[in-house]
Amino acid sequence: MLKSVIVVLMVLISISQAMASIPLGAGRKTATGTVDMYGCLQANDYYIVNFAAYPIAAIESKKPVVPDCINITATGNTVLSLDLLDRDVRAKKVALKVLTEAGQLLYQAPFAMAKQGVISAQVNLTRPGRYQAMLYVQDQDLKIDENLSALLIPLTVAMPEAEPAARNTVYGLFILISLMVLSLAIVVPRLLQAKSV
Amino acid sequence: MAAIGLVALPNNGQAEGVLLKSQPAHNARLSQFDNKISLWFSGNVGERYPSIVVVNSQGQRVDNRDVGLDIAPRSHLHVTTKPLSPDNYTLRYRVVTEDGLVVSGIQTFSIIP
Repeated sequence: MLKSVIVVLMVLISISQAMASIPLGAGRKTATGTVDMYGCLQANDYYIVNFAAYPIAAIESKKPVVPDCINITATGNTVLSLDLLDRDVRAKKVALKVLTEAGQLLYQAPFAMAKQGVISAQVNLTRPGRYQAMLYVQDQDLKIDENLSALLIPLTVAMPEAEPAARNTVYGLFILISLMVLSLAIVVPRLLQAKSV
Repeated sequence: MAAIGLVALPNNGQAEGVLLKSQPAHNARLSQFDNKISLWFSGNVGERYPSIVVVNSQGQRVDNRDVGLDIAPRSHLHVTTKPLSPDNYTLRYRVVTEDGLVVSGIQTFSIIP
């Protein structure tokens, strides 16, 4: 009897420790396109999620799909998925909105508890551009206005990646030096020629 | 057996086994408060995404948005608050451990007259 009690106790303790935290789900694409342990984490001071975007066309192709992070590569029907990484938020009602850059509402899910801790939305992202997903949490613990604690996830769709500023600076310097060398190559021989005359 | 189960199961989403100690303690009733909140974790936590938010009973944020993590050991997370009047306060904390676990939870404390 004592042995079985100890076994049950050990199992319960191990469950409680496993439930205390949530793994990130490593190996997802980050916002910069690389893959690391953190994946596509999106957070504000209140809440944290792992975001993923699955183009429907890619899902239907039945090939292995690597989900996009916040820079979605193509327009069209896309499943946006938010993995709620705060354990307590999984037991709270959450809502999701997707808006265009101009504020036009594309998708709205009413407040409900997220089954399995994941909230998903199929949205038709028809045009290249900037969008935003907004996660709202009815947090009975904090009693805070859900608009103040909402997690804003900025999205781009089918937009060319901006050149990093550092790379642009290097290109600019290279062009400037090339122009200086070229002008010297033209001007100096002429000056020398004029002197000799 | 039921009692054993209640002891072992998590309490209100807290990170048992990871969050070791907090100052003020969970459910503490304080007559004096030094406007500083500290959390100690069982090991080093990652530098990315640490957070502590403190709100009063009206849902108004009262921390100074200056959450910090000690450099060595990286197991002490802290934040300061505005001077707090008697009320019930709730804090939400979050860290990401070095082995990739998100640890977050809720703590409460009260300032009494």
